[in-house]
Formats: sequence, C-alpha cells, structure tokens
Amino acid sequence: MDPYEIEFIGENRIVSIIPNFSHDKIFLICGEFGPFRAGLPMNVPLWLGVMLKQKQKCRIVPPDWMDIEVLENIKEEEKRSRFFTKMPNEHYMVEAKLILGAAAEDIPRASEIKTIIKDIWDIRMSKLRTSMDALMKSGGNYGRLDHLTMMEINSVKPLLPEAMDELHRIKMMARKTMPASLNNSTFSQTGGSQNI
Amino acid sequence: MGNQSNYLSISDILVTNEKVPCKFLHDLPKMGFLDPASTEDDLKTGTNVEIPLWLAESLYSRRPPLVSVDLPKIYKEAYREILNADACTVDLHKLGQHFYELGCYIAKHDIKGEVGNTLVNTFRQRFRMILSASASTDSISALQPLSDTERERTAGAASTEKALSTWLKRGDCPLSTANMVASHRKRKRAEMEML
Amino acid sequence: MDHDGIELSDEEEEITAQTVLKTLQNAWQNERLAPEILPHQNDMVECMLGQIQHMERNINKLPKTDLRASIHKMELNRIKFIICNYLKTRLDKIEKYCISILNDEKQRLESGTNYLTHSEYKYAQEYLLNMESHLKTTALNQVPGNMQTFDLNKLVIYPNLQSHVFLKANETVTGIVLEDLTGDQDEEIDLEEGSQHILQYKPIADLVKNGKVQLV
Repeated sequence: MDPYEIEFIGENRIVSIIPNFSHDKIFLICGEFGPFRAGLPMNVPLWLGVMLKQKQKCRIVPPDWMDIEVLENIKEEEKRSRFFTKMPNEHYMVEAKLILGAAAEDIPRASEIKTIIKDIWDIRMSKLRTSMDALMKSGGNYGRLDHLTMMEINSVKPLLPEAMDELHRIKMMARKTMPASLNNSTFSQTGGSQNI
Repeated sequence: MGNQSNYLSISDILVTNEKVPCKFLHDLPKMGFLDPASTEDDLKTGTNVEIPLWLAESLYSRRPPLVSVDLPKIYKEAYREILNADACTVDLHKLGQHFYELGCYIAKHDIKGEVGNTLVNTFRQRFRMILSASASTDSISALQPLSDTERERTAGAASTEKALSTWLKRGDCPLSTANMVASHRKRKRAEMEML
Repeated sequence: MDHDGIELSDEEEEITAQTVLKTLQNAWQNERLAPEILPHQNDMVECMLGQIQHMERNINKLPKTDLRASIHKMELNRIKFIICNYLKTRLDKIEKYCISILNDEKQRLESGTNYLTHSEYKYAQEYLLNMESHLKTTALNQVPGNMQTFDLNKLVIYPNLQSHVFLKANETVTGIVLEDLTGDQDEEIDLEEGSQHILQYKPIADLVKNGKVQLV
C-alpha cells in the first residue's frame, strides 16, 4: 500500500480539539461529533481536526504522548529492548506528521518532539532490518510482529513477504528433489510454458 | 510482479529459454543442426549439446528419454561448496542470472539431490545483500553481484523506501529519514536553528 | 441530517451507518491485502451508496459557505474513495485470475456461496470472452491451421495462496498449523487477540473471511 493510504486509514483516529466557534452536534456517517462549544475541548476524527485547523477554526490538543518526557522514556526503552516496544498509538507516525504539520504552534516544544519521534522511528527501522535478516535466517516461514505499526509493517512490503514466498517455493522444490523422494514426474506438475 | 510460473509470464519464458548441457541418448536423423560443432545431417548418440531448457525438458520427458540433462556449472559440486560456505561472495549476475528459477527446474536432474538445499541456503544467506543494496547509497556496485530476481526485489524495496521518504518529507512537517550520518548532521543543524 | 439507523432491505435488520462504514473499511483493507478475491460485500456497498446519495441531496440544500457542507463533503469523498478503490481492487483480481475465479465461482454458485456480485460475474465472463477472441484474432488466426488448437486451461493463473501476509488477530484463535517443509515437524501457533504475525495466507484464509483476523 502507498504511505498515503496508511495515512488515510490513520486519519480516522480520534483527536481532541478546542474549537473557536459554537455549533450543534454534527451527524457524520462515521459517528456524531459535538456539540462544538468555543473554548471547550471535544473529540473529532483526525482528518476533521486537521481540516478545521487549516480553516483556523480550532486548536489541536496535544495527544498525551506528544510530550518530551513520555517520548524520552519511549526512546530509551526502544533502545534498551531487543524487541519492538508498544507505541503510544497504532498510527503514531501519521498522527505526528499531521498534527505537527498542521498545528505545530499548538504543541509545546514541537521541534524537539519532532526530532525525538524521528529518532524513535529510526531506531525502530534499523531494528526492523535486523529482524528481517534474522527471520529469514531462522526459518523464513513465520514471524510474530507485535507492536509494529501499520506504517512500519508497510515499509517491509513487498520485500519481506515476497522473499518468504520465494523461499517457500524453493523449499517445496527442494523437498520434491530430496534423494528419498526422487522421481521424474515433478516437472509436469507446475504447468506452463514448458509444455511445448 | 509475481515470479510464479505461468503461461504468459515473460520471466518464466526467459528462464526456460536458458541453455542447459544435454547428452543425446539416441541417434537422431536430420537433427545434426542442433550441434553447432557438427557438419553432419544426423545427430549421433553421445553428443553433448547445450540446448534451451524447454527443449531439453520435452526431449527428456519422452519415454524413453532422448537426452540426459546435466547440471550447468553453477549448480555443480565445486560451486555448491562455495555457495554453501559463503553465498554472498558469488557474483550471480555473472554466473547465474536466473539462479533460483533455473535451479528449481534443474534440481531434479541432480542425482545427489543437493541442489535444492544449496538454493535454500544461498537464498537465506543472500537476503542481507538485498537488504543492504536497497538501502545503499552506492547502489550500482551493491546491485552488481545480484541475480535478476534479486535485483527486482531490491528495486521493489527501494521504491517502497522512496515512497516512504517522500511521504515523510512532504507537507508542512518534514520528518525525513536518512541514514545515521545524515540524521546526525541534521540534528546539529536543528539544534543550531533553535539557539 | 440525522440517520441513526439504516434499514437493510431484505432482512429488516437495523445497523448503523457507522457499522456499515467500518465493515466496508475492513473489507477494503482485506481485499487490498489478500491474494485471492474475497466474498463480496454488496449489501454494504449498496447501503452506503444510498446513504451517500441521501447525504448529497441534503448538502445541496445547505448554503455553499456553510461549514457543515464542507465537512460532510470531505467525509463523503473519503468514503467514495474507499468504495471505488475496493471495487477496483476486485476488478483487478477478476481480470488477473479470470479463469480460475470463474471456475471456482461456478461451483460456489451451486451451493449459493458466491463470492462475486451478479455484475462482477458478468464482467468476468465477458472479460474472458474478449480475451479469448483477442488472442484468436491477433495471433492464432495468423498461424497455420494445424497449430490453431488452443487450450484455454493453459492460461489459468491462480492466486498464490501460499503467499505471506501480515495480520492482526481480532480475537484469539488457537492451533494454526504451519507446515514445515524441510523437517517433518509441523508447527502450531496461537493468535492471541491483538497480536500481529506474518505467515502464509492459506491456513488463515477462512479467518480473514469470518473476520477473526484483519490483514494489515
């Protein structure tokens, strides 16, 4: 999938905003939101929060995790652990990019936060490469990937699944041609261009 | 971009067009043209000729078989030893552009049944070459020793990487990813900007 | 613009628009990531299209500058994207795996468990006919008569059910068997609720179809 599609999926997450206008409840297909009361925090989908922010109709409330101390801890933990640690939310990168992009002025110490999120991302990406290599070496047919976010999973496509597919094909063939089961009929099973 | 063999798959057609060494087990009248070294009309029993895999397979699958198929040298014992020791040192682009695909077809002609295992080991070992080639800045020399499908796979990984970094860089909040050195430098710059 | 409940025509069953949207979103994501074509969700698509039409009529009544109008439009565009992309993804698969899908579908039709909608089925049949006649007119008719025999079955492309996919378990499922090709020790794994895995599609295909796992 394209990163923009993952972003699109991540945009459904709920964020908190403080509108600067008042309006009745609004009935969207994805749910009802509001009422909007100027100055009072309320929840909306991220796409709507960003849209209202762009129209200068609201401030975005920084999500709990968008905080230097919280992020420092996550970063340390991520460095220390051999495994992937649980991220504050399943679309942290999308949320960071959109909120810091549209509403940096609403987030205290935005540029430091940006840097530290980027650090966490980099640590995880390099861990991901090491784990991919380990996965292929250890067996290459199964892996458990708890705590990886969708954007991170997407970053190893198509490489990892395709390499696993290819390895599977080779193993299937290798099994057929093991001396114990040596026979001459394997070729005709694949069907295709050799049947000329 | 699946590499599954299917009737209209160009890459599969290319693989089955690769030449493999064969020995003819019978005299074949009028088939002398198959042997470029021969001037005779007929092909004699015992002649060794390299012919495309698709032809070799159909001659081999006759009852009785008209040819016996030998392994191309990259699948023979000498190379198998090298590959099993350290597959990453081998230039598959030079020695076997379709190493895995042709290997899958050819493995059954290996009496010892070891080609299959060599393919598996080689693939596993060389995965890290794809990983590093897809992230390498000097992609040309990293790509050089890779087989055709390894290159394809690298290109796939590189385009994912590119899409991701374009996404990260775009918009009001560039979160550009780069290798360690670059991000280090960027950090310094970011710190200086804040002063 | 209130629409708390939508009636699904046949079954008189009330589900919220929100649920329909969520179902479509998951179906879209699964369809994008599964190697084979999945059972259609035509009820949901039809229902949502009706909803969109209804909303659009109401939006047109609002003044152009109304903030609500632009919010609703934005949401409708998002939903339209999902539906279009979902249907297009299915058509891509139908074209690619045309023959094998039609073969499977004929059997499924007998048992009433069809995966394609009526119009998708028609599309698949026409696509196959067109492809066949195209191959005949451009190539086969130009070659000598004794070489014109043509076996469509040789063109069959099957989706690779052995391909590896990423999934997240919506609920705990135990005893998924992973075939061991090199040894003879098949491995069994459990998918705990919320856990994520990469594994072959085939042993979990049914779990995708019954919603116990979500492809990611």
